[in-house]
Amino acid sequence: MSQRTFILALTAATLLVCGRPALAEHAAEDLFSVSLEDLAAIKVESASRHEEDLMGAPAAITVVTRDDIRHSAAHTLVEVLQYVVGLDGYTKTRTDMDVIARGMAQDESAKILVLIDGQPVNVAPYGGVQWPTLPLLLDDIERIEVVRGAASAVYGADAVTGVINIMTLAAADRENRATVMVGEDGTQRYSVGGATALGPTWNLAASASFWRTESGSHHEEYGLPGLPENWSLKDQADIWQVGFRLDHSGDQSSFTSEGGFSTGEEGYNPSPGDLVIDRSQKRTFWLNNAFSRAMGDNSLELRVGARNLWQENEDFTGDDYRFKYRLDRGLGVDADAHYLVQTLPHQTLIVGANLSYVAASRNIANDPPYEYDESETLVAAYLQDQIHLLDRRLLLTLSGRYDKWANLDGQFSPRAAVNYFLADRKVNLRAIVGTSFRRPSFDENFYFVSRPGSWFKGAAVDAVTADGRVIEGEFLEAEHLLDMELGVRMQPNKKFQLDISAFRHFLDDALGYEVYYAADGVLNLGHSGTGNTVTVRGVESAARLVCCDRISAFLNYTYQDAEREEPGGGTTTWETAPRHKVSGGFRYNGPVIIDLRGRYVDAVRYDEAPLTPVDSYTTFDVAVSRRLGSFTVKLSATDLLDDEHFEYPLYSAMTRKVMGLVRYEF
Amino acid sequence: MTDLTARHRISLTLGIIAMLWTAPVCALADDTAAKVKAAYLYNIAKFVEWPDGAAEGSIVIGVVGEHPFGNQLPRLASQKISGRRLVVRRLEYGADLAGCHIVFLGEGMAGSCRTAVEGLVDHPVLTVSEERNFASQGGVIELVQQGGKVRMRINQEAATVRRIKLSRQLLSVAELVTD
Repeated sequence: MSQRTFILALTAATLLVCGRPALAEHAAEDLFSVSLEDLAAIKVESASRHEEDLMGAPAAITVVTRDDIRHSAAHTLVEVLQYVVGLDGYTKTRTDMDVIARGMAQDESAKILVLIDGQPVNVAPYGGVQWPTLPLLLDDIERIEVVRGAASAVYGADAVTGVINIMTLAAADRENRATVMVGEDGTQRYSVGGATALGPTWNLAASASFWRTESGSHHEEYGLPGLPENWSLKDQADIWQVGFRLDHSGDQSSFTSEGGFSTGEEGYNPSPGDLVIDRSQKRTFWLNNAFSRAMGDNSLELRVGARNLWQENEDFTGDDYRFKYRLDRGLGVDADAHYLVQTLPHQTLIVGANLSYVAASRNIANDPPYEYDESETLVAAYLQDQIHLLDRRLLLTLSGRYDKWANLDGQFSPRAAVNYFLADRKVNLRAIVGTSFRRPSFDENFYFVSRPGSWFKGAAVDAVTADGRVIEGEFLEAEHLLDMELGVRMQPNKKFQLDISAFRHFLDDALGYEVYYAADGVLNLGHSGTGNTVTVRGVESAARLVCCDRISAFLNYTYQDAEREEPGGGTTTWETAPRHKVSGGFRYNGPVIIDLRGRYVDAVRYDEAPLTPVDSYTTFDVAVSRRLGSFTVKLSATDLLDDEHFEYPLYSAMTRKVMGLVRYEF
Repeated sequence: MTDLTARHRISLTLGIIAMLWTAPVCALADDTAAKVKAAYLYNIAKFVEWPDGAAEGSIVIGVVGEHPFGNQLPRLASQKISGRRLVVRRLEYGADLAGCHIVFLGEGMAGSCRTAVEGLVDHPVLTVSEERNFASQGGVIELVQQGGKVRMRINQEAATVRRIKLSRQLLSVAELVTD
């Protein structure tokens, strides 16, 4: 009997033996006999409060709740985010995945700012996010707020097309639990977590996990038989991670210190279609310390945090591994202070300042070896004023931020939003115009690879091509985006909500590649500011429905159409993001919770060889879970119909994956 | 891709059937938030002293607009406090609120009823809402969800102006705010 079958059979037997489940806590029909002190201690979970807050939001915002995360078939953050309207999440391999937004090209992940409780976790050298090794368990997430559109007016660089703010559970709200998850292809994850009170006002939580993404073999796909068993495989990673959160709650102030560390080894496909598989070792950490103090109705918040990535890659030569490159540090230290003023008549004002230090050091196995060691500092100030007019029927939000990076001209990002409320605030009309910018990453300026079969240079590097042509380096300028959008949010009652946005983006100095010389079949590419403008227009529609007190459903539709100016005039359609995307699903909340969702993603096309088109695909994900006393059992399948598809050209094909999970709370 | 064999499919099917089979006939919905908030409303009525003229007879609770109490209102109406019956009335926007002891203002109602709320200053009517900053803007009790739990924010001065006395039991579990 295989391991998987044993787990499934054991699960069924456990359920049968347990018989009728123990009644859940607070299964009484009312709580009128419960004391006030006990009422204040009862945990409730409701997305309704967040939904109510969103009605007044001056932006296109989606909230992913803890229920969405816990009860769906998703086992990674990217799988969760794939069902958020306006986001395109894609899995290249089980160890390589990304998220982009609003028509941006795949591999443009640096255009979304990702935060954990306000601390950026974008990697300093290239601006993207290391999603698989991000040291944060799904169990420890309270909710995820996704803000779509230009957000640099408050968040600064990298918040070009949006912000994903992952909010973690307070320490006091975390259960003591142990979780075992196993699935096809040798996927397994073991995690344990717990929390304890350290006195009347301090709470500490900690968690740890081990995750093996896959242990199958892909040798036959590449016609490379006879490789040793310990050869790193493209979709395999072993990732260890730990995390903690320490909270202090006083009468007028609170303090949180939290963070995570992960270390792992993964098989890494360096570029599409590459038959040589890198072995990559990574160590990631993030840290966040936040202090807030209420001053009447005003409040002060101070935050200091850090993020770092260390990585070493080797590629397989056919006999052994050889050093390829090492990222000695990808460091970011970030400090933020802002003061919230709510005592002004009809206004809410935020005044803030931000300091950051980022640094990257790379060592690359060129001949001769190449390395760079760069750092940069940021000083920024921002302001946001929300003004209520016309008896709170009109909300005007004005914000602006000035960023001065050491090696970049000062950047000013303004934003204005108007919300008009109708029908007792059941309808919210919004109009937004704003700008955002992206600072060129260290890799875009300083990366340089020159070895047989591969030549790639950063914009600021002086280099010589294979045929002796000298290319002088030139620093990249910031990339700018102008965002204009109209939207409407309707929530006639607690059971139904509809949000529609129509947007138009203009992106200048779009990141491009310049071909210097193709020699011996090797494409010589380099980063450069092309000076082209990319125009993206789109519509996003998100509907949520709750019916019968048990069933909730959602339906999202995204249309995005991008055009790129060409140097000689005219435009071409930029098809590197799916033009149409439909996602939807429903959840039945009973003693058994059934979550079924699916998505259709349109085809994408690339202009540069060897990238090939990615066909459109439809996939369904299902999860069935049941709580039995202290145990929760979940069976899930992604790509339920086993419809093999690619989400990125020339990387791994996605197929059905069945997983079983048992969680014990104590 | 690994095919599921017949034995695997049978095991998986048995697992799902087992889950569904063991479901109790009387399924229990997770409406804890509604129960907690209704219980708070009950306790507010229980731990308040009304001025003369309002201290006898039924305790009338008016609910205006959308509310978070789920199906708890009929259960609330079946309760008694010190021999006084609780009466729950669903009221439309614009209704006369002066005949109520407690008024819960639903989503969006606190702003719309601002004039009505201010007009109740001379009446011993205790106002409750979930709207953000309700208590600091003149309401008496604001229900908030913090850290996955329901808490109260109380503007004691707003109660005093209305000649309503809030007992120590209520104040000791709440965050006190001022205008």
